[in-house]
Amino acid sequence: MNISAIPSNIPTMTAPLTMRSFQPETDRTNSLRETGLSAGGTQVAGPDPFGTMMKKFVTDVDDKMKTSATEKNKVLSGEATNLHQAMIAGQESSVAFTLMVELRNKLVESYQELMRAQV
Amino acid sequence: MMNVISASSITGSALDAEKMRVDIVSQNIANSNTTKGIDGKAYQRRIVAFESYLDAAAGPNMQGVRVSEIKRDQSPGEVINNPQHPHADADGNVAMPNVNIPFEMVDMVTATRAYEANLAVVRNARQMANQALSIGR
Repeated sequence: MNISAIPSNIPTMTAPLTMRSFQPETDRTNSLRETGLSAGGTQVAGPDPFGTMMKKFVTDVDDKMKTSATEKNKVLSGEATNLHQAMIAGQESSVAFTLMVELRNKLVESYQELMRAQV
Repeated sequence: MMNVISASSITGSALDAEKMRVDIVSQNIANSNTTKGIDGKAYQRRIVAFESYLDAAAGPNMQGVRVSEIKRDQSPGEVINNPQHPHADADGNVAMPNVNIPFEMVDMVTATRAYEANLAVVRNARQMANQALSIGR
């Protein structure tokens, strides 16, 4: 009675343990995806100061790149002769873009760090 | 609009002004033998003067530079006797422009060097921004 009961109990007890120890990545990514989705949902629904700030920042960077493009086009079409303005605008947009990428990297990094936390 | 490269509009204004100076020098050299300018008289060399202005875009109390005025040099030019010249007067005298080529060359060198110095400022400002961005790396 006892011997037959033990083998039937072992799989049910060890199964969750092995699942946890051998497949932690799938569990984590699943939970990450879920929380990510719900966080995105709240961002869209309500006014979010950080979201709007980031949006403005990205728009600024985009504007800088557009300005740089128009300045370069002006020089190439012969409309303007001040080469330095076009070059400075190009450099400025490049630095702004790097800043944006750097910020994005930092945000993603901190998010992943948070998700890696042991619960 | 954010400003990522510090004082880029100030340096840009200086570059504009110095470029204008080189343009005027080129005009002076080009007209160094013009005996009939647009006013009918011998060409008078132009002098560029700069002035500073408050640049609100760069920040409070930041001063950019712009061309204040372009004036004629009123000093008399050389008068040479050349009766065959189409622009000679009744006595056969021709009024030459008051352009002094070595003087213009010196002016051009200083303007070019000033332009270069401002470009170095842009380069350094960009380097500073890139170095600040590499803090986290």
